Amino acid sequence: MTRSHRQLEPNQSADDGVATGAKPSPAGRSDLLRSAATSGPAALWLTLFLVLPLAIIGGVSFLSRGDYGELQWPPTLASYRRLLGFGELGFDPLYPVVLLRSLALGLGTALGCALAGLPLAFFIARLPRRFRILALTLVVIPFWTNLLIRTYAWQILLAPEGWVSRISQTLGLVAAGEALYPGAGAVLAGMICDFLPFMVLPLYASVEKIDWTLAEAAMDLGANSSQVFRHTLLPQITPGLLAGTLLVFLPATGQFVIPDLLGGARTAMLGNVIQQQFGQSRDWPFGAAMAWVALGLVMLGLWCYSRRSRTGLGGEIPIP
Amino acid sequence: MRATSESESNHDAGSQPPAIEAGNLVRRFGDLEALAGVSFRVRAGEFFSLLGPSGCGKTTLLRIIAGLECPDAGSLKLGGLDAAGIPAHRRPVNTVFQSYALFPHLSVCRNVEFGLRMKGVPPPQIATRVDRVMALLEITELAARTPAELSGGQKQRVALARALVNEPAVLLLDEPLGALDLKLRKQLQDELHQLQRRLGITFIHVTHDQDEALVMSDRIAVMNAGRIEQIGEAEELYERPRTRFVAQFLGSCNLIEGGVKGVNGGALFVQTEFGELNVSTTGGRPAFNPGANVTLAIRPEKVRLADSGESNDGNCVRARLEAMVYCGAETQYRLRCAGTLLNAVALNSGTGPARFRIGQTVACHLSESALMVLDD
Repeated sequence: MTRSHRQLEPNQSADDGVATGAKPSPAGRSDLLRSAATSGPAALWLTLFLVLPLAIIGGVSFLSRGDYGELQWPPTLASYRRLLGFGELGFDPLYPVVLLRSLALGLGTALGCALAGLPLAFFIARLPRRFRILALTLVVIPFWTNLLIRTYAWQILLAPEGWVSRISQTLGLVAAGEALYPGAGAVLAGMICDFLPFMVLPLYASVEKIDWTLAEAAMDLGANSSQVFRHTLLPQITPGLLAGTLLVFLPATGQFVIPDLLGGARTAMLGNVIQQQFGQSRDWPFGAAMAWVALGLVMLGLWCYSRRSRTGLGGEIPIP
Repeated sequence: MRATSESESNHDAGSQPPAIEAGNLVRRFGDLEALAGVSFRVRAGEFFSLLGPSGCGKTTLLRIIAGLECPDAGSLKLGGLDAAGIPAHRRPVNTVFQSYALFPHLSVCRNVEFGLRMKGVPPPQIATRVDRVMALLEITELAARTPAELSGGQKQRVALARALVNEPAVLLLDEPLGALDLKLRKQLQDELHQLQRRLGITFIHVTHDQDEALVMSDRIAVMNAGRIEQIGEAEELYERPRTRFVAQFLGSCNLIEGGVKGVNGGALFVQTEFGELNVSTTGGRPAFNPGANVTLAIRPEKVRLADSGESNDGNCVRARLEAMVYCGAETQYRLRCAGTLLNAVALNSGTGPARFRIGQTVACHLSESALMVLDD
């Protein structure tokens, strides 16, 4: 679908060329002008405020830090080596662990959102039409609340004297007197709550388009419910699931406010380590290197995604 | 349901249980009664058609047999076993869906082997069975394509192969030829018929196309508004329809209202607005009492036309020729006789010029054996 769409566009512009073929040069010039006028501002903006800063940061990552935090020649790979754990004092797994922890947090959040979002998306898609909009709005509403307020709310909810902790204690899920906050569980709960709309919305868009006769056909051919899901429903919602995973995983990997507030002081994440380098530590080259590695991971994710969508599972795949 | 369908199924009851036995099936959707008590039996190895206009409940009935829908009341037996507890994926029944419902992300070969893979048939056996059925339906060369790369007729064959490879006891076909053009439809009707004869699998075929049903089926159940109006072989339904609906849904029919004047053995004297008509009733009909109102029916091709002077025996009514349409092999006539319209069709077997002129009075001979008495 996406491919045929892409093919259509050059054809159309070729048609335009034919239609105005009598005077090719003025037509071509006005085309150029028109596209410059429409896409120019955005391109300029992106160049000035995204591409250029990224390039500067890329450059900075190869410099080193002076005694007072100033940038120093000559170019070196020291920052990247340190990031991999090979610092001046021998091997120290601190930063690889931070990277892995951030990736794990991103993956865990994406997985949790997928597990929570799948039933929700199916539930919403099967509601009567007028309730669907309402349900979708309800999914999005928490999103309108400030992130900090939501996160502090979690602190109160999961605090030792909070009712969630009390119920868990009564049920024996948590030792008496212990709280769910701060801890990894609290972080995951906060993260999933924060990112759920990013998963549910694309998933819902896929689920709503499901051709249920395929599920019936599979049932008719002897597939039990889990086989029906795996062989007919999953392929149909894969585009939405991939888009949602990407939308959750990428920002979740860089998220540090929620781990900071719900995970206690000990958790260093990609986000807050970078922030620290540019702030208190005044180690711009190291912060820049870390930012670039994070960006590289994002690019890798996008590349995998586009490969996956090109191998094609049927259906249109929205590119976020 | 009715007397004949019972007696028809009885004679082979000893050898094999009926492939399908439905008892008073009811299915409601809100206020709508899609099935209002449907009972029938399908013999093993039979080509059985469910014929009716859209919305008559035939697809709902098919889905109940497949297990994709649950009846609100009534019983269903598959091969003598109660189907109520058997979920769709364990029934020895496969369906060819109206939209084909091929899996778009799988190749033709993968589509065909789907059922066998779900049942955990060993791979070497899957390969042989898939090869065999794909050769049978002449789709071997399509194996690597995806459904998007197939034409309508090819999709149809793949859907058939995907169902038949499971060797079901009953194959359900939901308007399988509905989406195809006329020529392809005729060809596939023929192939489907042959295939069923060769495989000996019970086919239940849903259609709204009366010609399709007449051509392919061993027996047809004509459905209307959630009920079965009549079950029988094609000839029986056409020659001896019981109800107004069957008479008019299968082919066209002239209906004549009248009152019974007298009964003499198998012969009935009916007073109509054209005068008295003699009707010979076939056996097994309920007795008619003098004075009862009846509806008579006669097929247009059985109305014999003659010049008004020619004959004057019984059952001959005079009518004015109002319109005449020449259709090549036949000519259709519209006649008016005392407020009632009569349609007649005659083959153009002669070589001379047209026999009648518009406005002329024509003698219509309604032979007593061609007149049918309807139940309602």
